[in-house]
Amino acid sequence: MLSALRYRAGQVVVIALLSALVTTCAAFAPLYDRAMQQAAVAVALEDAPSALRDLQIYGPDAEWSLRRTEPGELVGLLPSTEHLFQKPVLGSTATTRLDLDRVAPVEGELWWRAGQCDHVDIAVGSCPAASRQIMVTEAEAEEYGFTVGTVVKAKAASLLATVDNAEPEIVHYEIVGIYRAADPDWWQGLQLDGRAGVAASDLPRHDAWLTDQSTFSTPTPVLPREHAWVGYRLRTDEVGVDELAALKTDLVQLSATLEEDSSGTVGGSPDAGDPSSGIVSSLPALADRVDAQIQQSRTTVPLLLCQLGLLGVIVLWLMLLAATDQRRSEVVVARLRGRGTAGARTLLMRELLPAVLLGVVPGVVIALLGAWPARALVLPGDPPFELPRSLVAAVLIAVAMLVLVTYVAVVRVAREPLGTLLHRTGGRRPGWRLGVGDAIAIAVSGAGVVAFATGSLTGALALAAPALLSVFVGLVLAHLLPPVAARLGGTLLHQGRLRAGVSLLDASRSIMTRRTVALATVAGSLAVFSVCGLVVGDRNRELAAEQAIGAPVVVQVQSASLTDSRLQVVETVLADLDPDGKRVTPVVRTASSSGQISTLAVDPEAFSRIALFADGAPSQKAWSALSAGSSREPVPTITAGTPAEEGAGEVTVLGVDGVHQKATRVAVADRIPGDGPNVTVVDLSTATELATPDYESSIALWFATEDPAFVDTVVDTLASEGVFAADTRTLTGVRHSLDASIPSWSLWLGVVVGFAAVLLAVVALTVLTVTGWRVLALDLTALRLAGVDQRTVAGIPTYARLLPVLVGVLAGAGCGAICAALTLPDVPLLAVPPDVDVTDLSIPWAAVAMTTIGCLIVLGAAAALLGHAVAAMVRFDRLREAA
Amino acid sequence: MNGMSIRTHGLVHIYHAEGHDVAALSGVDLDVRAGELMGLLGPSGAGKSTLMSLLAGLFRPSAGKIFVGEHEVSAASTKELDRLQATRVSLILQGAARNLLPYATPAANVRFAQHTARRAGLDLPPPEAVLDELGIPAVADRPLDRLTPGELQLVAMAVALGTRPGLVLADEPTSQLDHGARDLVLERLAEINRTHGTTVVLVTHDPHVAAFLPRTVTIRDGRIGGEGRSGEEYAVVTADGFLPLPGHVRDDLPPGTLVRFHPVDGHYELVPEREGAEDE
Repeated sequence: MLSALRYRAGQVVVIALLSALVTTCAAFAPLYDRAMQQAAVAVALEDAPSALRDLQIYGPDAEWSLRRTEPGELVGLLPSTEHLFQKPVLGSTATTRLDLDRVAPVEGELWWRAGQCDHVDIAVGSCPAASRQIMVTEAEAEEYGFTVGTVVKAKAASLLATVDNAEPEIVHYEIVGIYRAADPDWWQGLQLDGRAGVAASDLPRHDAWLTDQSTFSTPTPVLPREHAWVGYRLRTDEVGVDELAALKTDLVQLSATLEEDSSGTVGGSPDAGDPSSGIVSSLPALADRVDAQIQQSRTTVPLLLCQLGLLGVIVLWLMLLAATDQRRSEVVVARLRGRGTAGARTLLMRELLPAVLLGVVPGVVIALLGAWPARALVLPGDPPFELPRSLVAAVLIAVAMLVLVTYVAVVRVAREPLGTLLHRTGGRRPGWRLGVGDAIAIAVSGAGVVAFATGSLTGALALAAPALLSVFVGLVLAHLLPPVAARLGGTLLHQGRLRAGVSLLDASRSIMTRRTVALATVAGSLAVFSVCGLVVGDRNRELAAEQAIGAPVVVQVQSASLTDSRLQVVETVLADLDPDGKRVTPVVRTASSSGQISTLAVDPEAFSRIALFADGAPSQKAWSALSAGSSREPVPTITAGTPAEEGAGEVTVLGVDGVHQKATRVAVADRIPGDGPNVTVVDLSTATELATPDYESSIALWFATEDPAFVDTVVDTLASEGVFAADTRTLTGVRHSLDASIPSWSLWLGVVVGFAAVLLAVVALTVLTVTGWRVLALDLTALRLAGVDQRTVAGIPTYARLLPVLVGVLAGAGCGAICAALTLPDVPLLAVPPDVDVTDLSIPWAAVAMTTIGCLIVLGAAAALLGHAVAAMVRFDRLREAA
Repeated sequence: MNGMSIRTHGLVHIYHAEGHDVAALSGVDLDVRAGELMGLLGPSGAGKSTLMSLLAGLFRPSAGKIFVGEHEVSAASTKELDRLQATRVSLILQGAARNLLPYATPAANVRFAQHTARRAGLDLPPPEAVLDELGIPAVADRPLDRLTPGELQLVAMAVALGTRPGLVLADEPTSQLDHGARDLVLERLAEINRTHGTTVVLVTHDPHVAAFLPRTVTIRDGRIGGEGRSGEEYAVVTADGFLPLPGHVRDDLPPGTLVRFHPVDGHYELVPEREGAEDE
């Protein structure tokens, strides 16, 4: 066996390389898929606020369960995932209604957290060290006039008192310190401050009071909504996709257990605002979100890599055809010595299979090496190096495929009758005759294409549709091109155009022409399809980002009330910094209580200029009509979707005070950027004349460009006037977050697949030339003998190769575009479907053209070089060799 | 006796090529005794190689029967043919290299050829012994590309003879060899024929080879055109009574010529009817 491998070492190397390429395609898919999953987990955890990604466990309500739970009892409830969290922080929590001798009590939270004083800045006083000692925030001290030493009082739990028909006990708290919030991560996103003086649910609020652990024990009576608490901070660097799934399982189970335990004591499920016994964490939801993306990757990754693998298998098949043809004499030897077809098959398998399998390990290694830059450079979150179990399955499938292809190629020769083996040296079949294998391949691929086009092919099988179409077209062309070339060549020859005529005739009689046109079709199709997927995905993420944000930069102004006065400040500052409204414009948004309907009050001229409408912007006339409104209803409005109730032709819009107003529609837009599906746009001046903006509406600043300096100037100027920015979002940032998703990363594979497809086609062209050059050189030498000049003869192999490449690539490009049109609707482009569908799946013809030209240049250059190399082999001594 | 006899009856073989039928053999009746050493002569395209291939069971005749020993090769199943080729009938193709695995040494090639026969239970000499018998023990482990053409042909013969077959069919075993190598190959073949009683049929164009052989059969236009025994040329009457004319006589008697057979003193005179003579 070794001597056989050594004998044709070059061929063995090429076969092994092709086998390695097929294996790489198969092995890379699970590696990249796994890395994408890990990256998706990393991004999801990184983007999630601490309150969502960490875990809080609340014990049962002490008042309703008639006993106090020790925080320590809540530790160790996670059966298998506790190690994924940092050491738990124990705590207790309760609600206080502070009696400040005002009309209404001031409500807020009373917390104890082990080690709490190390994670706040104590401005005045000291850390609470005894029962009912508390610290309050600086803002609260200022709001309510508290100082160290102040004693405040609040009612204890009222349930038992009500049963006994008595008043709840009054608990006195002594303020021993005043603190500033710090280290938000340690506090797991729980907000300590920002509430003092702010009303919620008709009650003024106080900030979180921090007290000593002993407050939550006798002699202090049970407090309202008193719970033991344990906080777990997630060790995000320890959490991958498997751990996240395990966390979900554990947390769902724990949640169910706690709910069951607390049933009869408290009702409802816990949430961040009103926790009963239960857990607060969004890890299960995060796991679901990641899982949804993983499901999406199961469409795109196989769609691209299976087709590339198929192309690799086709090229390997061609190589094996050449290799087995070359071993016909060895098959004859085996058969002459009575070994039969089985013996001949064994002989070839023992020689070729090791060569094929030789490529498997390097293929896996190449996949691992290829996955490294993907992990290190393309994917965020530093996905770890892993060997997922699916890798083994993928490699086994690849090996099975390689063995099968080798076996079929070997059997094809081994079972040929001895007489045929002795008298036929090549597989040259002129004319329209269709081999059984080709006929089956055309029938199967054609049936697949028809089934897909009629919608009968769904699921995983539908993913093979692009490959089936290109194989179908490639094979049909492979059988159509030779007779057409023969006829055309004959005509040209009659017209005296020797070189073109002979080139076409040469192309028509060569098996290489058929194989090249089929290969070029599949490769061109794959390259164009991959690029289409990439470009369409990119375009749709851009559109989705533009729709999601509305403008290149949007700054949300902090406001829960006083919108009117803040709007005046904003307008004044903007009039100063951007007098003509070309760089920034205010947008006042009012949403219905359900959040389903909203109204944007804008400066029409500036808004139409700055908002990212893409192609669907209302006309200038509509914008002018918008600003032509008076201070009376109906308000001129541009609508998108179903913005509000309509009756008898009247439109209703939300005023900036949240009250419905009659409106008249001046235009309908497909969508309004930066908002949901049901939006009305009104003129800001008209809207503020008709109503006063209040807490129902919010102000945002929409900037025309991502100019951080200008944005900072505006934000700083507003801050100096007492209006603060709550949130700044940029188009780049939103786009980046959309890009950081599995659908996006999956489509990026298209770049690799496109390049690999063209590379494989070049390899195939080389293989076809290397295996057939001797016969061709002989034919050309005969032409030289017949008196055809050297220049003409030298051009023939090049033209004979260029023809199938040209036809194949053009047909392949058409197939790729059609495949993209058929398949892309089923390819996930965004991780989460947006509220407003901006999907644009139109074929990017410019990209198609560029890719086609690129393929033509690369494959054309390869064909020309190989043709030139064959022409250089034309020597008269070839005739002696043949004799 | 190891040798196998050959008997063909009305052997016809037609090739289908480029949409046309070409008759390579048109009724060949041939008898070869077991242990005989004989040659098939004839011009190119006469059908010699086709006859060899049919005798070796490489393909089936279009009509007629072939018996090799007790086996009707023309009706044998693929399995039976495989068994025959593995143990009893060896064909040496024209061009020594076509009979050998190019990457294997002479010894390995002989071993490869013996594999199936050994599995069938035949007691065969080791490859080295076979090579020794052919006088080339020194090349046993030498790569094939380092052998002379004569050595290469002897290795091809060793491969064919490694299974101790009853019939060896050799297609032009001496072509492309110098005189020394040619004589050596013929000598070895004759020795094998003598030693083991192996029936040897070889195709040749070479008159020196033909002269070396005790019996030659000439194939012409797909038929047996004559036979030579110990230097004497004979025409052979076919089973259905036809008598092909020797080549040089055919030039004198073009197709359509009427002839008469006259028995004269224990032999026959063949008298053509001349048109001019008749007129006269």
